[in-house]
Amino acid sequence: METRGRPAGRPGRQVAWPFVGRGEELAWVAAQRRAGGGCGVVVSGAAGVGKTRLARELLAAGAGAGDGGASEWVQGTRAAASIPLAAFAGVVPPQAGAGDRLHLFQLCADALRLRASAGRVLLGVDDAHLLDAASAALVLHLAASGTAFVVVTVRAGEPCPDPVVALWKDAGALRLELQQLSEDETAGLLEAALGGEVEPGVLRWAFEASEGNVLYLRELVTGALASGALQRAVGRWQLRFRPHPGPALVDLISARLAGLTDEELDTVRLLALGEPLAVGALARIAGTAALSRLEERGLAVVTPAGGSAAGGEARLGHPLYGEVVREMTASLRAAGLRRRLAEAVQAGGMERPGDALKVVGWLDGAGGTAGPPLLLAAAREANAASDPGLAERLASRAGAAGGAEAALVIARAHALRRRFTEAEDLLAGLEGELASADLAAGYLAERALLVLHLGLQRTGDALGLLARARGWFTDPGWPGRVEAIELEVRATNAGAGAAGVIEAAEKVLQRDSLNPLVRRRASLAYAFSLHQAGRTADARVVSERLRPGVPLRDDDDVYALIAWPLVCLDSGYDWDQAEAWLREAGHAAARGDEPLTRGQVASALGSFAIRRGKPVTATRRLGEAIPSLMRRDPLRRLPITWLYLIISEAMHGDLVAAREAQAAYRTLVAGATVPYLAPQQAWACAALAVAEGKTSHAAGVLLDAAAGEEIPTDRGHLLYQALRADADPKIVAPALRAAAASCDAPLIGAFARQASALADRDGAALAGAAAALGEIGAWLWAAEAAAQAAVAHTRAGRGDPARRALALSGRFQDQCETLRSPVLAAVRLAPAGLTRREREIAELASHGATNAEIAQRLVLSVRTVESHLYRAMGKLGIGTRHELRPLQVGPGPGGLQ
Amino acid sequence: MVGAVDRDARIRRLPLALAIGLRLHEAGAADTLIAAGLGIEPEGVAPMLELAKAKLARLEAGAPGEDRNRT
Repeated sequence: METRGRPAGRPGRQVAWPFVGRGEELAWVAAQRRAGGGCGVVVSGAAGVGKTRLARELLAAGAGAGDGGASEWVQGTRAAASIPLAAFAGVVPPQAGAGDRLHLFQLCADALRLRASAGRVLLGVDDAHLLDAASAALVLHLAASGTAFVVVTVRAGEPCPDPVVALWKDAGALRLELQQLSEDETAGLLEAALGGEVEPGVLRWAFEASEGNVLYLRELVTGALASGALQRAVGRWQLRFRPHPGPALVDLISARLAGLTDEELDTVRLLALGEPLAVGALARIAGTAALSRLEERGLAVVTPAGGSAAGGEARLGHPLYGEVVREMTASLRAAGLRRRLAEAVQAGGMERPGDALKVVGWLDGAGGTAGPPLLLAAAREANAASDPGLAERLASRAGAAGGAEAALVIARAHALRRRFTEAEDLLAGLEGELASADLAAGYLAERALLVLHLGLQRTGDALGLLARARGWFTDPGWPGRVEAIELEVRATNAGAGAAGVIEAAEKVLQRDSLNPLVRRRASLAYAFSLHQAGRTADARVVSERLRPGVPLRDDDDVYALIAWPLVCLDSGYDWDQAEAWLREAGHAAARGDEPLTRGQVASALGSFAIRRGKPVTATRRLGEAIPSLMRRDPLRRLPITWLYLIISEAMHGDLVAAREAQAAYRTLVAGATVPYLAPQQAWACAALAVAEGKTSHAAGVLLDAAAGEEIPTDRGHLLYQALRADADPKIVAPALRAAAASCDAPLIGAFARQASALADRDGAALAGAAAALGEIGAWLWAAEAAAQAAVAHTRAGRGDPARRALALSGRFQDQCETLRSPVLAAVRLAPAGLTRREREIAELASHGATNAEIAQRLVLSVRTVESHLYRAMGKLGIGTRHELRPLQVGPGPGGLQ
Repeated sequence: MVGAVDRDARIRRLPLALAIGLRLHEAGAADTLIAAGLGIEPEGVAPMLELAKAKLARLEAGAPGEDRNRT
């Protein structure tokens, strides 16, 4: 993203902000000029979008390019609009009289030409829609006669003097419709202005509030800095609290709202208190005539639904209008308006999501009373909006009248805050008090699946509850509903019984009259079980069909969100597509402030980045995921996210951060071993060991974990990581071939080919495995395989294939964010014929470790270390430890330095 | 498939009016219709589309696997 103007610093009203996000506009105008097109450019856009700044930059760019001897700047103003040639007061020669206008124009043109030593004058005309008629005609004359290249700004929607219109209609000036900045461009401007990275929450607030309007953005940030809401901490800008609009912003917006009738102001106030509002509800209170007028003035926006504006929803033309109007509305008037809003939306049947929550909020704000059914409906909506605290308060207000439904809502709120024991205590007391099958089905999904199985890892108790539940109702459809939940419990139970789940799911999914909810759950269980059984191609197809839209509707959607990417990730299918889809879901979630989606998406993207060899990106993604997952994490993705953070930090060589992540993980799981996380736990433990220089220990951990792993893709991954940690390929290759044979995942197949080729020292086969891994997108692993191919070819005396393999490795390495890899380190040392132990010791010594430290680390005697190191240095042909430094390809053993 | 998914995602990252204008154009809408739809002058449509394409090209030239997406 391009940046021009002053260096980054603290923004303020007195300081010009950096010029960011308009590089294409500048380049486009320059290209048009080079091509000889036009007599000028008319920049049109809404107030605050940055027209004037762009015009000034265009003039500066033109002057800087030697495009004219002088540039002039004139300004249209409302105050001077009735005074002939007022805008050109500084240009009109003193000898000019008020006679012949054409003569006067020629005098002005001559005066401008005199100022320009060569070429055309560059003339900036700001707010040309406010020019007096004579000034407007002079601008047209100067442009059309070739005296000046004009850069003119006009406000969109404002009537312009005829000569200004003639600029682009008749005289050939270019017309540039300047738009608000995009979210990315806003982020770039914000970071350039603040001089540092901003947290996602700051960007979301700034973009949502400003909608990319540069003027509003500047005033928002200035106000937030002044109030202390926006502060820098740990190198990133954070929002401590949501700031109120500052006085300058209030003035700006008040000016936009000036001149409205009382009826229009009332509609503005209703929208400010209730937006977005159903047009039908607004019509019941205030009619739609005022809304239409506001829409014509750009002060309100109506989004039609189903092709009808009457069925659509209305909001104010800019989010900041609402903030300012709410500040300016007297409390008694606001209370009355809120009461009317509550009545109108209730009269409409509260059919839109979030209506109940809004109505309760309005009634509370107006001193009204909400009944138990309304409170419960609002509490459910609060849970859905990831606000469990509010949900609990609302459900509690329903009191005894809320009954089992209120308890269920409160239990959900506990689960959302990961208070699973409290949720179970509450839910256990409800067993036997559930009057309807629908209520009982919701209860079972909550208690058996989310609380007992996923939350408390009491899978046996969950299955026991489901067994008891089969007899709760005589409805013929009831057993199927229980079975679908049971399937999902079994399907997420670390691969146990996947074959049985597949068989049962295939039976359930053949039913014609299956409840859509049950069908979705059974399909999800089916997809996970197929994956666990090694039928990854089938799992890919089933999970891809289940992808949900954003915003997510419920927890089933959360499963569906990650099912397809995780199948792709483990199997090696469609990495590019899966990442693109996750990013898109992440964008949508960021726009909707959905911590649930954001956390899942960021965590999954972090997992991809690790496998691609991008630990910096992975650390950023995982770091973004953790706060979101701490707010809401129904699938218990938080532990695995910490594990991946250990891996990414270790890959990056930051041992301190890796150990901190390990401590956080241990605290989270209270030191327990979580069965379904066993592969990732082993990987994280091994990654840390590798970073500490203990590759032998790492390989042992991974091989032990692989021996106990039933899921073929997970077993394949563990074996492959063991291979990367220098395990003997002759031992690993047969096991990896067996894993590859028991699943159809391309990634595991590539792993097996690499292991076999390594065992056979087959350079061509290693290069083939490298190409396969590169095709999947596993850049670091592909680079490693290609480097191993180069070594194998070199040993066999094949120079050309070795060079090609090295070049291939280089291309893959270019895609990576780290080259800290035990495999690349070993390959670097391989030509000297070092043994594994010699490599290990040379690697530690290359980072400056003393013999005593190495001995302590590897549990060897100092004499043994000395002996290995002496032989290693002899083979390498070097005489001092200092000469080992260039061999630092592997990660540094942080604890030793 | 990958290209289509990525391109669609990148178009969504353009300023909203540019994204709408580009989609309308690619769907075969005439400039007059695009101008009416976006509430701009017809003469501004062609430059706007050129800018949209330039901004899209910049996004496409970004790092292949990553962006400045904030999730």
